[in-house]
Amino acid sequence: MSVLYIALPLAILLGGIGLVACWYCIRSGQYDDLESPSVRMLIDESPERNANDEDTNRCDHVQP
Amino acid sequence: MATANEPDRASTHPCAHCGLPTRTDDPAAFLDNSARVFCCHGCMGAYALIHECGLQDFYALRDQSHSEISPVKSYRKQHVLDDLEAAGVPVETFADGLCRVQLSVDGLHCAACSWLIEKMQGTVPGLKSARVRMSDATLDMVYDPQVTSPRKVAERLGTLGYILSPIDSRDEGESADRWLQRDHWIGMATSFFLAANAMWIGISLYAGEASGMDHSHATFLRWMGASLGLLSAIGPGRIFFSSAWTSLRAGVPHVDIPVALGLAVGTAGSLVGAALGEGNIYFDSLASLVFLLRVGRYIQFRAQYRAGLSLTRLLRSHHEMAVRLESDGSIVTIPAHRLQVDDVVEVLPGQSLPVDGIVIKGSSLLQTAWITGESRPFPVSAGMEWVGGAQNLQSPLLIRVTAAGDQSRIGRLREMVRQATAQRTPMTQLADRVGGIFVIVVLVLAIGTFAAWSWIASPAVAAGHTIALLTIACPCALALAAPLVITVALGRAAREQIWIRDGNALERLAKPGILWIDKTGTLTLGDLSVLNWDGTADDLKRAAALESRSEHPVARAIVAFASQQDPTWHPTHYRVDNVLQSYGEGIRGTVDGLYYELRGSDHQEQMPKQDTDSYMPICQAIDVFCNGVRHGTLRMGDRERPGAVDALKSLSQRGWNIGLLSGDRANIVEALSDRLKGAGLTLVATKSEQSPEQKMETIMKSRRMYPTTVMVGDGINDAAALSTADIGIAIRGPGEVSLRNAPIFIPGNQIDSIVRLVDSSKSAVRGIHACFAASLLYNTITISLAISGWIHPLIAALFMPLSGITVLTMALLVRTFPSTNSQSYPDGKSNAGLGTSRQVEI
Repeated sequence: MSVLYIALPLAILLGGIGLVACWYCIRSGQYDDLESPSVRMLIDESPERNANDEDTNRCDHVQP
Repeated sequence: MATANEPDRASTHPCAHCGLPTRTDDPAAFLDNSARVFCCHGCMGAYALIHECGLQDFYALRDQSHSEISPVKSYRKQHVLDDLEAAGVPVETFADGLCRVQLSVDGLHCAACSWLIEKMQGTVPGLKSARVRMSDATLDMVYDPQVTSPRKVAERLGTLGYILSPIDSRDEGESADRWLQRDHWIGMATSFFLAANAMWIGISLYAGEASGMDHSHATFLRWMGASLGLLSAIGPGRIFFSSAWTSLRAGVPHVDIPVALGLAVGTAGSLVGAALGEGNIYFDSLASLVFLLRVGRYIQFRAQYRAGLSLTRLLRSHHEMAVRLESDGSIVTIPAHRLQVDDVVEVLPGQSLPVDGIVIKGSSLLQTAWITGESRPFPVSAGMEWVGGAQNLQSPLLIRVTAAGDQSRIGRLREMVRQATAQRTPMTQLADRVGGIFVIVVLVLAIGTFAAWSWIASPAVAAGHTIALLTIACPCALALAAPLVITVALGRAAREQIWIRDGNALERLAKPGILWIDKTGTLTLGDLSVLNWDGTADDLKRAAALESRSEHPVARAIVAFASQQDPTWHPTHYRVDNVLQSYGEGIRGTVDGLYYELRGSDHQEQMPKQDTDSYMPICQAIDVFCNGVRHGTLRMGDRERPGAVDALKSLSQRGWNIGLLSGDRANIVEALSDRLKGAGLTLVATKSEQSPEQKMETIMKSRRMYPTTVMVGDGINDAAALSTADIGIAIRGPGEVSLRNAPIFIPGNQIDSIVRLVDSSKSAVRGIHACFAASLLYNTITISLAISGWIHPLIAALFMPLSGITVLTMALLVRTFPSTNSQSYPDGKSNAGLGTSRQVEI
C-alpha cells in the first residue's frame, strides 16, 4: 500500500496539468463566444469562401 | 405594388423577411410581384438582396433557430465610418496593405444573422474576411483599403438591417467584464478540481476506517486532503476573504463576512484534524462549499453580465456623433464625447450634444426635457447658451463649445450619479446571510456532536456520526436557491422586455414603500400633440397643409392631428404658396388662395377650465388666422401615457405610496396631480420645478422614511434620482445616463410592466423563502438524525444530493413573470435554466 505515497500525488499532479491547460484555454479566450462557432461548423463552406481561407485564419489567430 | 386602396383584400400575412404580421391594407406594406408581403420597404430590400446573393438559406436557418428578425429600419448614413482615425477606432494595417478593424454590429438576433453577415463577405469586393462574434455583437473584418472601405461595408449591411458603428474606446467596462467572466470560470474549474479530489480522498478515508486502514496511510490521506482544502480556500476561495477584508476595513457589513468566517473555521478544522491525525474530516466539505459558492457567484454575475451586455449594445446605437468644423473650413465627424472646449460644432436638427456651448450662428428651438423636465421647447438664437443634453428641434446651429466632458452640465450630473452609485452600501443578500450562519451552526453542532459522542461512546463512533452530520448538511442548496430563482426571473423578465441589471433590485421590490414618478416622458408621452381644436374641420385641414411645409415639432403634431381626424387628408390635395416661416413667430402662406397665418397665442394662460376626465395640461396654444381673422385655436400639450393611471392605481392597491416628482412647471404638474386624484389615486406628495439636485435630495429623505424607495423616470434629468433610489426604474430609451444607472430598464413605453415587476418580485421572494424553508426543514431533520447517530456516513453521502435537487427544482418552479404571450416558450420551467442567456439577448 506504500505505492499510495507516489500514486496519489502523481494522480493529483496529472489532474493539475489538465487544470493548468484549462486555465490556458480560458485565458486565451476560447470560451468567450460559445454561440457562433458551434453553428459556424454546421454551415457548408461555399467556394468563394474557401478562396479566402487564409485571411479567415488570420482573424482566428489574432486575439484582441 | 402598394396596396393602400384595396380594403377588400385586407388580410394579415407574415412579412417575408422579418415575419412581422402585416396587414396588406397597411399603407406602409409592400407586395412584390410574387405576392410576398413585406412590412416595410426596408424588409423588401433586404429580401431582394439576400436572394440576389443566393443566400436564401438564411430563412431556413432562421426558422430552425426559432429566432425573430426585426424589421429593417431605414438606414442612416454612417459618416463617422469615413474617418475611423478621428472616431478613435484602432485600425490595424498588415504588411500586405490589408486593414483589420473591429466594429459593433447592431441588430444581431441569432446564428442565422451571423451566418448571413459572414456569407455576405463573399459578395463585397475587397472584403477579405468577416467574422461575427455573437457574444458581444462585434464584427471583425479584414478589408483591402484600395478596393473598399468600412463605410461601404456598413452600407451593404445596413440594407440588411445590421447597423455598424465604431466601438467606443470608453467601453472598457465590457472587456473588464469579459476578464471577470474568465476569472469566474477559472475559479469554478479550480475549485471543482480541488473539491472532486478532496471528495475522493474523503471517500478513501471513510472506506479505510470501515475496513481498518493503516494509521500512517490515514494520516497521509488526511494531510493530502487538508492541503487540497487549504488550496481551495486560499485559491478560488480567496475572493470571499478579500471582499470580507475590504468591507471590514471600510466598516461596512458585507455578505462575504459570514461566508469567509465559515470558510476560515472549515480550514482551521481540517488542518487541526490532519494535525491530530484523528477526528473529523472537514476538508471535503470545505472544498465543495467553495466550489458551490463560486457557482452561485457565477450565476449571479452571469445574469448581470448578460443584462449589462444587452444594455451596452443598446447604448452603442445611441452614441452621438458630432460634426466639427475645422479652422480651414473642412468638416470632420467625431464621437461627441471627444469634443473639446473651443471646438466649433454644427448641431443638426434632431441632434443632441453632451457639451455646453454658445450659439454663434443660426436660430432654432431647443428641447431640454431630458435635462430639466421642462416640457415646452424654447427658442434660441446667436449669442444664447446651449446646455449639454438639449435637443435641437428645428434648424442647424453652429455652437462654440465652452465646456466639455466632466465640466459640462451633463458631465457634472454624471459625476454626481457616479458618486451616488459608489456611496451605496451593498445590500446583504438573504441567501449569503443565511448560508454563512448555516455553516457556522453546522460546524458548532459538529464539534458538539463529536465531543458528546466521544464522551458517551468512543472517538471512533463520534467521528462516524460527525462525518454523517457534515455530509448530510447541505448549505449549498441554500446558497444556490436565491441566485437561481433570481436568475430565472431575470431571464423571464427579459423575455417581457424588462431588463434587470441587478438581481438585488428584484428582491427589494417585494417590500412596498414609496414610488416617486417623474412626469415628462414617464406619466406623459413627452412629445407635443394637439389636444383640441375649436375651429372647423376645413380650417384645420388647410392649416395642416400649411404646416406640412415645416419640420417644427408643433407643425408635425398638427399634421399628425389632421391625418388622425381625417385619414383621407393629404397635404398634396392643397395648393400651398408663399410659405414664410420665422422662428418664434409662426408660419404664414396661402392655401388654396386663402391667406393663413398660424402663430403662438398670447392668451394661453387664460385657458378655459379643462374637464377632469381627460387630463390636458396645455403648454402651447396656436391661433389660426384666415385672411386676418382668428378662426380657431389649436391647443397643444403633452398627452398622458395610456395605462399610466391604471398602473399607478394597481401599485397603490398593492400598498405602495405614490409621489409625483417633476421638473416641469407647477401649474402643469398640479393639473396632472388633480387629474390623478380625480381618478381615485392618493398621492403622498406632488413636487414640481425640481432640479436634478433637488430630486436627489427628495429621494435621500424618503429613503430614511420608507423601507423601499423606488424612482421611476427617464432621461438624463432623472439619472441622479434613479441611482440614489433603492431601485431606479428607467422608462423609455434615449437617456443614456438613465440606462447606465437604473438597475431596471423598461423600454417600449410599457408603464404597466412596473405592476408585473412588483408582482413577480413578490413571487420570487416567496419562492426563495419556500426554498429556504424546505432546505432548513430537510437539514433540521437530517442533522438531528445524524447527531443522534441514526445515519451511517455512507448513507449520508447518498442523501447529500437529494436536498440540493429538491431545492433547485423548487427554485425552477417559482412562477415569476407569468407569460402573457407564451407562444415561443410555452413551458417556462424546462427552458428556464438554459434559456436565460438567449432570452436576455432578444
